[in-house]
Amino acid sequence: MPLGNNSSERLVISSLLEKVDRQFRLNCILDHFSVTVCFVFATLLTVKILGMLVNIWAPPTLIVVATSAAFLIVFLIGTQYGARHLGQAAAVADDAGRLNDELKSAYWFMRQTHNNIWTDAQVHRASQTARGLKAKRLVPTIIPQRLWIAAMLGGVLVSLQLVPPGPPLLAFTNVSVDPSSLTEAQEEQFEEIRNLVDQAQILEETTAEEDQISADAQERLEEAMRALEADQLTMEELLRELREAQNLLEEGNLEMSAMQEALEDLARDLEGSSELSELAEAMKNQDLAEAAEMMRRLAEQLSQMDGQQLAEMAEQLQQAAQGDQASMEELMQALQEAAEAMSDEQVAEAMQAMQEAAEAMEGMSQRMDAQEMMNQAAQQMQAMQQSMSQEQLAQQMMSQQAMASDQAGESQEGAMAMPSDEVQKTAASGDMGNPSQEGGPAGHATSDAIEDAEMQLGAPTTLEVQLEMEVLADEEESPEEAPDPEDIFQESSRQETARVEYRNVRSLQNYAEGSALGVEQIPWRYRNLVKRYFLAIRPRENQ
Amino acid sequence: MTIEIEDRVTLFTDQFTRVREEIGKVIVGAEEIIDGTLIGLLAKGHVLLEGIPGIGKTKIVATVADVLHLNFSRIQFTPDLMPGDIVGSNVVHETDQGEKVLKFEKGPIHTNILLADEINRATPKTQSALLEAMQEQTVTVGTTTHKLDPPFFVLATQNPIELEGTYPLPEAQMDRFFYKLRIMYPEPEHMHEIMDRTTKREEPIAETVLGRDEILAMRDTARDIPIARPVQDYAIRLTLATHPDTSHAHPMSKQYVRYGASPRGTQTLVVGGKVNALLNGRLHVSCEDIRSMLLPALRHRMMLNFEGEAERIDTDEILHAIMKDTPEPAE
Repeated sequence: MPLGNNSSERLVISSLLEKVDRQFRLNCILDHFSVTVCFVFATLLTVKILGMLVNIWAPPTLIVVATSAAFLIVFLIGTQYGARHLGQAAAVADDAGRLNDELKSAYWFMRQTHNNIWTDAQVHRASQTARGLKAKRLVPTIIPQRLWIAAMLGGVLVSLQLVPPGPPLLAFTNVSVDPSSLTEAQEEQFEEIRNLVDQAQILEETTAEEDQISADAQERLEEAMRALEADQLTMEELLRELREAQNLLEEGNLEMSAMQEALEDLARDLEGSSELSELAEAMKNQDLAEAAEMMRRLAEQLSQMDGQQLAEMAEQLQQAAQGDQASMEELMQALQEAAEAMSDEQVAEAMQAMQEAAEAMEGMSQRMDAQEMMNQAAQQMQAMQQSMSQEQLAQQMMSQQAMASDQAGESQEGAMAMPSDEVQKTAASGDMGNPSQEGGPAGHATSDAIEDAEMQLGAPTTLEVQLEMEVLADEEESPEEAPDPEDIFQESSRQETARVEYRNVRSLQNYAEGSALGVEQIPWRYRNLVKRYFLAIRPRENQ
Repeated sequence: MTIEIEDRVTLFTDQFTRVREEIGKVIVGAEEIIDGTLIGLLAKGHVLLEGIPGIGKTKIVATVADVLHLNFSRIQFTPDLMPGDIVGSNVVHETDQGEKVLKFEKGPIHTNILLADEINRATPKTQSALLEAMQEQTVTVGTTTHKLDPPFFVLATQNPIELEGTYPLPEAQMDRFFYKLRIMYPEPEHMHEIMDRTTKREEPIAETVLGRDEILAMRDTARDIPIARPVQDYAIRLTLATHPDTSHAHPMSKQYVRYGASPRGTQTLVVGGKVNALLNGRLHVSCEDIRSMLLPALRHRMMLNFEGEAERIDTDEILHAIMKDTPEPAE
């Protein structure tokens, strides 16, 4: 009988342990794989179900799968393919084969340098035991039951994929707006806004201005529409986009205001000359096309004027051209040149300069027309925002009322009699939806919802009127003090005439207030511009 | 050489089986006690048997002594027993020439198997007379140290319910016992067998089957069994779990134990595990061997704190919890 601890016996044990180790790792990999697959399917299923219930952003399937696979691979590399632990395999084999730590002890004795006949004998025995063992019997390949769960989840996921896409089952405030949810009136408004901005863009292009505001606004609108069609825009985001576009369109108002002010100054300077009085009148009326025509006529009449008339006109024009109006620099320069030419009795040069002044006035006229169109477009946007906000508010209010009526079992009439000013306007009529088109399409945008609300919740009360009367009464008594909103809300309660739940009114009022004012929505980078705008249009002290 | 080892293992197992069977002729239903006693003997330890009166403690010891061809002494411990009564003393002896000299008269401790019956009835002073003999296998009287003949094996008994007039063994004394075995009341079927054997004219007699040299050889064989480091680590972790102040402390130890088992307890686990491995025909100690030794090896080495005493916690409960919660080595 050979000595126990020879290399062949060690090889037998090591070989068995390596096989057991491989089997063990395979089972670990299968286990981790099943966990990962379950996780991926569960995640996708959760996202899918949530997507059916509410409108949320869902990560693409490929990203979820790829990320999970990457994590699994990294995890497996980190845990499975590190240093080999045959001792661990020996423990697994001992446990599986009920060997009472025989292989574990043998493996430990094999790694020791100082062995004796007893350890050699133990290794010899262990090698004999190892010869009779099969790694696959000790550690059979186990298909985790989680894989069946994963298969079931996958089946459910595939089934849900077959369900045709539709709107979310639960509509919250942060509802995505798909093209079909826009009313016909709102779509018409959108088209009208587009046309106005297009026309403004054409006019701006003829003036060859570098900063074309309408182009930026047009681009923003187109982006919003694209996102809307791709169903990637929530109601809040759409409203924000509209506000941004509106702000862009209204940016030019500051310059226009400065220009109008400068024209008035110019008209005052030109009023002194009898030849220029009509021109001044046209300027005063902001009719720059007419003013340009008159300027051309004056240029043609220059050759018939005597030196005194020319000098008189030159003086008036010189005085008018002294103003430092950055908004109409071209016109001022032309007037200056005309005045100088008249002073030198150079009629041809003066005519040329006046022609240039007329062209400058025509350009200014086109810019003013473009801005006018942009303002109209901005108004349309404002109306559309209000319409959409009110529609959103009405939906929220109805859901809250429904919940409240479910919980408290209160009468529908009593529940409906509570809205604030904004809410009442929303529920009562669609007129606020489009101020520029009273009773127009925007007014019908929420009519269905309002009718439903009225049918369910009863007719609105006259609380609005009552509150307004109370406000007026307070103002008469103490005109210098602004009425406290708290008093307005509490007054009816004090008089015991209110039939509303003021707790809900308060929150809805706050929401409606913020929505109507929209002040908070001004981006910080535009606040300075807005401030300058209001400073520019404020009444002058001498006026 | 492997054959020689295999033969030694086989011989060990056979001899042990023969002794067990021979004792089994007299003792009924106490296999664990018999095995524990023999393991203690083969592991060079001493065994404390605890049990109520009349369940065969003394009979077991006497039968073990009968089966083994060894010198046997019995000391009935009483409160007035003096150390000299155990270890012996120098007495005045008159020679043939009429000279009076001091001569050492050996006490009953100078034997191979010593039955210390009702050891807790003697005073601590007398109990302590056993300390040196149990640990060092020597006896010192005056300035002379007398070496005891191997094997020296103390089998002590004590009654746990009679407290009046008893002196609990001091911790140092307890620690010197390899095992503390608890003899339980026999099962009904065993009672029938006991009645059948002991109520007739002739009682069964156990024959001597093992001599001194064979026992010493078996002791050597047991000590030769190797133990792998992971298994030894398991034994150490089990012992440390009984200590309330170590990082391995078990929650029950933290709550109820004042002092845990000493390193001698770990030695007991390992040596006892080796004997148990041999009895199972193995050449290595397994975690199962260690676990099977845990209760008898450590139950008397743990000192409960006030809370443990107040709640009458049994150290076996703590050891069971430790055994359950201490994981086996993973590799």
